[in-house]
Amino acid sequence: MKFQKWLPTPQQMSDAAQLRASGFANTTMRQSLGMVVVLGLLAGFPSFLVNWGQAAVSGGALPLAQLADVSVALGQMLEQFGPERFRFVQVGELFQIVAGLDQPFPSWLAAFLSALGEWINWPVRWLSLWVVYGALVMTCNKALGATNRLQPFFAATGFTAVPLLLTALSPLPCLGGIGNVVSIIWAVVVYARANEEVTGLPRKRALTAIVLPLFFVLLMGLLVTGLSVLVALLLVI
Amino acid sequence: MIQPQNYPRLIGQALVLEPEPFVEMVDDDNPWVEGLFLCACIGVLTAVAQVLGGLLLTGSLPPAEVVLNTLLQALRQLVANAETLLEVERTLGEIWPLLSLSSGYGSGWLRLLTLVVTPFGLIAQWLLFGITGHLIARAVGGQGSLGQTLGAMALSNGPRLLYILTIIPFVSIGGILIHVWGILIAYRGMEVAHELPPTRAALAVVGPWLLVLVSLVVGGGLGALIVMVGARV
Repeated sequence: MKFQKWLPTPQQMSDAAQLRASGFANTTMRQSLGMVVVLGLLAGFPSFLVNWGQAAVSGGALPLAQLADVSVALGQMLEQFGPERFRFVQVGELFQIVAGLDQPFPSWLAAFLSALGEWINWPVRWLSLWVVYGALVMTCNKALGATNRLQPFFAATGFTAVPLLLTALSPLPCLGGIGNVVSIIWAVVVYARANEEVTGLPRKRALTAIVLPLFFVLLMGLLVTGLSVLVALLLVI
Repeated sequence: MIQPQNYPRLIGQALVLEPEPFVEMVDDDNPWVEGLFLCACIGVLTAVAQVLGGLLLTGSLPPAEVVLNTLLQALRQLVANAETLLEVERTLGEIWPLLSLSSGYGSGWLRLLTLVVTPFGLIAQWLLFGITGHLIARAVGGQGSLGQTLGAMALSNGPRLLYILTIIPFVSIGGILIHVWGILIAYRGMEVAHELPPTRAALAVVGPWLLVLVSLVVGGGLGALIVMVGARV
């Protein structure tokens, strides 16, 4: 297997990150797919090490350890607002008890497998964003008059993964947060540039095609969240 | 006839929307048989991965019965109202086996059902969307035969191979990624199999999904209506 078939050159990635048109040209969708997966794995590696350590210290699977931590804090917060007949703090304690139960595998193995699973989720999430959001943007592009094909579009927009590499800093306190914000803004700019370059649409239209799906996603998110909260409230109260 | 050792190449090319695998599938002497075999292979592979993943998940988490008992004990302390407690316990009792079965966590021998349900479910879905898509494609001027459509549409199940990753516990593959990617591949397949222009090919692929969505909404609405009427009577 030749790597150049599955990855663009570092020069192309650098050009795309610097918003140069040459970065988005002469790349195949296959190379973009490889780039999204490889960069997703690289970005998630530091978190994998931190998660493995955290899960190993807690003596079990990572999601249970994280759930216990979050639920205690959430329980204390909800206690002030929730209905009196339901004790939210005890919910947090319950998750701590569950996290403390023994599992059949040795704790180091359970910790490793769960951290590994969480690591694999990084490129999967990036793939989801690239494919699903890309399909929505491409639909808007077509509606706004673009005539390009799917393959060059996905080939160009895959370069959004390059600035997202900064999210590798996320386990670091303070710097991680800054890295996340910078990487997201930078990725949006690269995406906009790639879309404009590949569709040949005027800048305003190309930007509209990117923003419209965001409203759609937000609307769907609000709808689903609203319905979930409604059902949860009906069950609790 | 396409040799099975060519399947990885065909699926790899289909995933990046290249036209060659669809041409190869459509030009085959028995495209629907190739499609059926490809779907069965994908279904079996993903089912085996899910079963093994379920075993590893069960080993990585505390035993399901112990967790359920802990939850029930905690609920008895948490919920003061006896009526609410009974209701919550009953709901948990109903949901737990379903959660357990769907995730493979502590579902025992029942998880082996996946080995049968997943491949057959995939084949049924492929037939449903393939045949409906074919009818729509023909209605909008498509030229391909049903066998060619089924052959090309089988490649749209390629993204499902991502489910092999679920062999690792806690890997979560969103259904939306699989379906949207599958739709994009099916769109390319329809273009090739029926020699349709982009808009009509898109209609032939999205059409079956819209039909399913409408059926679900109508079915759900009717179901809710029946429940509400039943509750009043």
